[in-house]
Amino acid sequence: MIPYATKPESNVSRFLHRRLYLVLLAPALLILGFVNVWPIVWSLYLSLTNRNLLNPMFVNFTGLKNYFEALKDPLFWLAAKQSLIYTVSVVALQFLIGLTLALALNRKLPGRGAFRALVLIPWVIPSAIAALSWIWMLDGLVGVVNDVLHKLGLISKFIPFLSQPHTAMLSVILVTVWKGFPFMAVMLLAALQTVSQDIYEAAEVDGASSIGRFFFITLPSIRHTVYITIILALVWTFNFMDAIWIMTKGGPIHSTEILVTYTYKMAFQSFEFGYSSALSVIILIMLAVFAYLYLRTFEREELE
Amino acid sequence: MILKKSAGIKVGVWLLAVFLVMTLSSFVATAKEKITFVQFGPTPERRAGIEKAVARFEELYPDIEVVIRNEPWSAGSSILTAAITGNAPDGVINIGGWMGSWAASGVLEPLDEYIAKWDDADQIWDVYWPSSNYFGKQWGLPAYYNTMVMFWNKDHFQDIGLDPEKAPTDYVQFREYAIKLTRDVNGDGINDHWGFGPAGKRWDIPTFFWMMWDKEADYVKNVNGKLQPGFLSEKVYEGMEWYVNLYRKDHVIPDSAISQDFTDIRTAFVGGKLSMTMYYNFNVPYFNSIEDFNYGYGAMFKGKERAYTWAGPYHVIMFKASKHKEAAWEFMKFMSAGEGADIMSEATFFLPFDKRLLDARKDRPELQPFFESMPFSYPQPMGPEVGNSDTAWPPYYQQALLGQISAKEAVQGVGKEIQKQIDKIYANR
Repeated sequence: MIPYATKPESNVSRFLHRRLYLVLLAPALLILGFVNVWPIVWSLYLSLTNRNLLNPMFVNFTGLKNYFEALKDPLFWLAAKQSLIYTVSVVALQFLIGLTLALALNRKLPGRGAFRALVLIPWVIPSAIAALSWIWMLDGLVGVVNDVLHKLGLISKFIPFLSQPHTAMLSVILVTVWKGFPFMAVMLLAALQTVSQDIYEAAEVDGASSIGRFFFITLPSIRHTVYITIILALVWTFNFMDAIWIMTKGGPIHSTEILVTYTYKMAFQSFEFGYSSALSVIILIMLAVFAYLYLRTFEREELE
Repeated sequence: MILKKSAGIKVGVWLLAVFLVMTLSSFVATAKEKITFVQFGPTPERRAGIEKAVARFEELYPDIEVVIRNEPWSAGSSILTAAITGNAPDGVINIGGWMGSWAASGVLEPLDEYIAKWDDADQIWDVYWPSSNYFGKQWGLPAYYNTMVMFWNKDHFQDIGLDPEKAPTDYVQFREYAIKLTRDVNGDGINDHWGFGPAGKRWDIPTFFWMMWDKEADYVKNVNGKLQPGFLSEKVYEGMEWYVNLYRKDHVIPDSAISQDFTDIRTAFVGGKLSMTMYYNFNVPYFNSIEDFNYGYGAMFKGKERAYTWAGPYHVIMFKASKHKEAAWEFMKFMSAGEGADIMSEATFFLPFDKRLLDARKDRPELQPFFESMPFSYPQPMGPEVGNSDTAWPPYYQQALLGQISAKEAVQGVGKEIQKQIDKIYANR
C-alpha cells in the first residue's frame, strides 16, 4: 500500500492551525478594544486640552495643565480624601457583616434556605430605588428612622441625617454597606462551603477553641476568595456614585463629595470636558496602581 | 420539470410584486415630513396636553408628523451630547435653565430671521425676550411660563387665629407668621409644624430675598460693556442675612430643609409639616388632587424694597442639526402663540406668554395670584453664566445657614462663581 502523499501546508493554513485561538478571539477583542480602549485613549487626549462645551470652538492643546490644576484644586483633594474614607469604610463594614452572616448561614440552622434568600434582597433592589427609599427613611421631618429612634428614647429631636455635613457621609456609607453586604456574604459563604469539615473536627479533637479554629483554619482556607472579593469591592465602591448622587449629590457643602461625583459635575454640569477627563485619568491611575500593588502583595504571600 | 420551473417563476413574480407594492406603499406612507421634539419632565398633565396639541397640529398641518420624545429632566446632558454629535432630535418644547449653556455650546439654531418674519411675534409678552437672548441672538420661543408664589396651609393658619384666606403681604408679617406657626402641636418636644420650608438645595430661593431687598439688583449686569454679577450690594447682603436668620435665630426653618429639593419640600408641605413655602404655580393641580388638603396660594410678599418673582419661561428651541427646519418652525410657532399654547396651558396650569391668551384668562379666579404677580415678575436668569448654579451656588447658602460663613461671604461667593463663568464663556467671544 502506497501511503498517499499529503499536500504541503501553506503558510496561511499553518498560521491558522497554530494561531486559531487568535482568529477566534479577534472579533471579541476588537469590540472590547473599541468599547473599552478607545474611550480611555480619547479621555487621555481630552485631558490634554481645554475642551469646554460652553466654548466649543476654542479648543487648545494645554499639555498637563489640567493635571496641575487638579493638584492645586482644594475640592479635588477633599473629594480624594472622602473617596478613601467612603471606600475603606464601606468595604470594611461590608466584609465584617458579610463574613458574620456567611459564618451564620454556613451552619445547619432551621430555615437556612429562606435566610439565604432574604439576605440577597438589598443586593437585588436597584440602586436608584434603594437610594430613594433611604432618602425618605432618613428624612429629618417625616423619616421612619427618626421616628423609631425618638420612640425608643435614643434621640430628643429628629436628626436631619442628609442635611448635616457630619451625618451625611455616615448615612451614605451605611446605605452603601446595606446595599453591598449580600455580595460579600454570598462570596464568602461559597468559599466557606469548600472548607472540609474534617479539618474542623480534627482541630476540635486537638483542643482548638472556636476562635482558634476561625483564625487558623477558616480564614486561611478562604483567603483567596477574601482577596479577590475585597479588591473587587474596593474598585466598585470607589467608582460607585449611585447612592451619593441620588441622596446628596455630594452635599451638603461637599461633605459627601467623592472623586467620581466631582468628575461627573465637572463634565456634565460645568461642561469642563478637558478638566473632567484629567480627573478620570487620575482615578484610573490611582485604581490601577492600587490593584497592581494589592495583587503583587497577594502573589508574594502565595509564593511564601 | 418545465411545469415546476414555470410554477416557480410565477411564485417568484408574485413575491416580487408583493415586495414592490409594500416598498412603494411604505414610501408613500413616509411622504409626510417627520419632526421629533423632546418634552422634559413629562408629568401626566404635560403628556395629556402635548398629545392633544400634537393631534391638533397634525390636523392643521397634515403633511407634518410630530413625534414627541418624553424624557426625564436628568436626560438633559444626554440630549446635549447627542446634539453636539449631530444626533439630536429637531427640537425641545420645554427647555428651561439650560437655554444659555446650550446656546453657548453652539447646538441651537438662532431664530432671529424666523422671528422677523413671524406675524405673531408682537403678541408675546415683552418680559420673555431677554431670557432667550444671548450673544446678540434669539434662541427660543416661549412655550409657557411658571412663576413662584407663596403656598400656605390654611388649617395651620386657622389653628392659630390667622385669616386662612390671606398670605402675609410683606416681610415683617411673613416673619411674624412664620414664628407663630412654628410649634410643637402634640407636646412631645419636637416641632410638628415649621413656619417656612424653603428648598435649601436649590440655587434660586435665597436669591429671591436678595432681589426683594435691593430693587436695583439683578443676577448679571452689563457695566460699560462688561458683564458682571449685579447683586453685590449692602442691601443684598442684608436680605441674605434676614433669610439666614430665619433659620439661625428665629428657628422657623427645619434643619432638613438645608439640603432638600422642591419635591422633598412639597411632600413635607402636603404632609402638614410646613406651614408656608415658596413654589411654582404648576404644582396647583397636584395639590388639588390631594384629598382634604386645605391650602392657599398667593402672590409673593413684598421685601424691603420690592416684591419679586420670576416669569420663568420654558422655551421651545430648534437644534442646528435639524433637517426639517421649516416644519419644526411651524410647530414651534404653534406651541408658542396659538392653539398649542392654549392647549398646554389648559392642561398644565402653566400660563402662556401669548398676550391674547393671557387676556382671555385674566378673570379666572384660580389664576388671580399669577396675574397679581405680573407687575413684579422678572425674567428668570438662564444665561450660560448661571449654567453651573445648581452645583456651585447651594454650598455657599448652606455654609451661611450653618454659620460657617457670613451671609455677605455667601453672596460674594456666588458672585465669584458667576464671574468665573463669565470669564470662561466670554474669553474668546
